[in-house]
Amino acid sequence: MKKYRLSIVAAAFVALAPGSARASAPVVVIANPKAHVHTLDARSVRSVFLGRAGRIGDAQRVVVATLAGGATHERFLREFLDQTPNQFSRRWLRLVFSGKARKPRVFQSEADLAAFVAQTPGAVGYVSTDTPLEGVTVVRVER
Amino acid sequence: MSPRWIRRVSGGTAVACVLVAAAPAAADLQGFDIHGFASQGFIGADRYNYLGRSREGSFEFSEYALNFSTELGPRLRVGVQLFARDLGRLGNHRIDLDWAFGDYRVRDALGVRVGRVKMPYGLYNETADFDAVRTSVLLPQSVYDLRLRDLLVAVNGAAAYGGVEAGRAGGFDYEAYVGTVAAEPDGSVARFFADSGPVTLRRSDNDAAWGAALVWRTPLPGLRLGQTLNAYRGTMDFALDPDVLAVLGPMGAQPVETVTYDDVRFAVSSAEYTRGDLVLAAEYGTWRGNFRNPFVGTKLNWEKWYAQASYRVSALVELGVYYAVHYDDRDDREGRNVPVAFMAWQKDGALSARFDVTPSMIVKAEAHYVDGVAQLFSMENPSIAADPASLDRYWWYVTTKVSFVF
Repeated sequence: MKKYRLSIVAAAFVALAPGSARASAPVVVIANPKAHVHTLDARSVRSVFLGRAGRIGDAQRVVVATLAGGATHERFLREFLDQTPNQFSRRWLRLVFSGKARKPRVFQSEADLAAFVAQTPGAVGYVSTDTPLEGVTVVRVER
Repeated sequence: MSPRWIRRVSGGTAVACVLVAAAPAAADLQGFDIHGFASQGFIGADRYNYLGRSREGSFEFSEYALNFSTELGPRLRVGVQLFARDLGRLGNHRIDLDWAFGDYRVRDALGVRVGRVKMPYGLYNETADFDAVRTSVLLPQSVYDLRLRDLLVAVNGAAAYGGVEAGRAGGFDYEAYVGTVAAEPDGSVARFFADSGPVTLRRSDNDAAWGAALVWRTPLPGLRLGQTLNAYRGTMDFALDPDVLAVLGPMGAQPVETVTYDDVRFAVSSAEYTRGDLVLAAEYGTWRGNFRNPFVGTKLNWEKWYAQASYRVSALVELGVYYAVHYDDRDDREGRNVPVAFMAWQKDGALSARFDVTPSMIVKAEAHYVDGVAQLFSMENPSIAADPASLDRYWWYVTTKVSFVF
């Protein structure tokens, strides 16, 4: 019985524990080269990744690519969008279920995300600097 | 448990199972995005029937949706969402067109949607039927009043929208629409009037609905302020029940009476502040206007507000609290003109807990303590009309809900 109680207490601590704060490499915004986007201000980055911007650079439409989760995802949301993963997810769910935007393409790995951005006109995303960056434009963000 | 009850629950469960089993993750078929959700709830109350037969405990509390969208070009997108609900006597799992429109985005500052478009009202109306985007089971029922939900779901017409950046002043998002709204003979509007007297909605002809929303993303990070206005004009035909006609006929009443309205206005002022895992929100609204008819008309002079806080405790747990206040007559907040003073208001304090079991499965539980009975239907609570002196001022209700989303 005592062991059972301890399990409940342990489960409660796990449930209430703060989210992952694992350190990660710096994060960069990347774009498909055909968009010819090399610099964006911080506000434009927010507009793009929060579904307010429909186009970017020479691209007539934006295709937002995001990670499903993890340290790079959390760091990007915190540093570039000032959002938690939960807020970011709900923002897009609101847009999708009111018909206002197409949901971002979601990737489990940074390499897959970078490959998608490299191949897809108008695509923008983010990866850590540990990720090979062939075929994409690294966008300098002016704050 | 009645056979009807069994049919409804099993029908809703079947829909949920199909949705969840068929598409465990968002699908992309031939360029079509497909998303959906299914929610099944329970509501129980100690003294009154609220939002269904809650006094005996009710599972008639569910919503389902499925949407499809695709891009037809770099600026043009089309989509449709089907939606069904069951909430007491409302919905009964009937599948409705929630939204269906073409969206042509000229530039970020100007886009146009044509078709059936969601109606802006306050900060959260457009996803009011979607459980997964909020902490609470129920949005504060003062501002997001389900009694006239038909008037706020969507407009058949057109909307212009866009966002502009304003440098140090932040940014602005706007939307303006014009069209018509549908009020079904078995919908919330029909039920609202039927509760006021023994009448049945035969025809609703909304000549026009128009409105606008403006949201200011202020320079203070996380703070946004908004204002929305919704206006309606039209007529509705109500059939009087024979026994009522027998009384009112000699006074000139016809078997079918026409109600006209041209000054119905819903206005809401909103504020939301987000800092880290904390979200604070408050909204104040008025619903005003006249549904004119000497026999079955009514006047709206409602005042509504709420204040809400929610906090994300961990990846699994989120907690929320709100206090919501509704007055049936903003010129009689003290209840001097009703049989019992607390019939003039409904003040609802709620505590919510949300558990994100997985990114696609959410479980919620919520407790409400209520002062007043202004938002209760007398057809579900006969003592409101028959014996006001016997009413209890304070009561409570609880809700739980499980939602799946993909």
